Amino acid sequence: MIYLLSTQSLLDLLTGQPEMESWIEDKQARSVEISSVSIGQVLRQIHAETNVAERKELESAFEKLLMVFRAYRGVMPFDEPASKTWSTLCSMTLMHDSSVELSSESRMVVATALTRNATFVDANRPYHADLPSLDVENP
Amino acid sequence: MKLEMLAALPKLRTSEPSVLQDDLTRLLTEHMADQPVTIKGARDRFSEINRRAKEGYIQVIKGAPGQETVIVSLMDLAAMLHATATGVSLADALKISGFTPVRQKRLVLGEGMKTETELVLHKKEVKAKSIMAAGAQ
Repeated sequence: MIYLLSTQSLLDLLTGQPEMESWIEDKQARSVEISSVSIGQVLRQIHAETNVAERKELESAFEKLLMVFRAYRGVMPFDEPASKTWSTLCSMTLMHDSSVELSSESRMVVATALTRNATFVDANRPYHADLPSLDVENP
Repeated sequence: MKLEMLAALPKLRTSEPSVLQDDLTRLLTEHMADQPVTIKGARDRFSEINRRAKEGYIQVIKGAPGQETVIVSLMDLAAMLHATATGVSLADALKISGFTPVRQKRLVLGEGMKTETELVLHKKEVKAKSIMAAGAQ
């Protein structure tokens, strides 16, 4: 089984959220992937940090995290099949929560999970119900 | 031990001993931090070689092809056998890499789709404001 982390799950791994830390305990490193789009999303989030020391600490920790995914060839590109799936997702109303729609970048990550038939690791979100072919695991 | 080496172990071809030996040689060549040493060199600097092996740097004593000797710590040998037999969990891989989570606060990803309609409305709003500003002058 292949898992693909949502960008929020990747951020939770970076910041050591307990549910993600226990989720990775029994998952094979070679079975967990991330989307290259998530790298950009996480870096954008890190760059928005105003505290310089915190920002540098986050950058350094994220680089080590990426090193592990690279070692296991777990960074998935946003390729042609994913682009085609993404174009379909863009025509849908996909709610992240009750008032906010899923961003275009996050749709690219979801499209990558769908094209790889990967289980998407994410907290429960309303839009999951609109994508029956998306297999979701809530850590 | 280098994480890349542990990650590559389950992919080694084990169909034939000679094929496995070739793959191992290639893997060691790619990931070894220290150069192979001669028997004389190893004898002269054994304490240093032993220390490096304990620190996780595999040591190779030169020999005829296929007759080389490998010095590896018991801890690394256990990690290699474990990785080959069961793979490495993501939690263990992160520990080996030296990754430590940043435990300041939870970072929450900003969501929100900018639709075409929103963008058009925003443009119109900006244009209207600039017209109003020009009219006021």
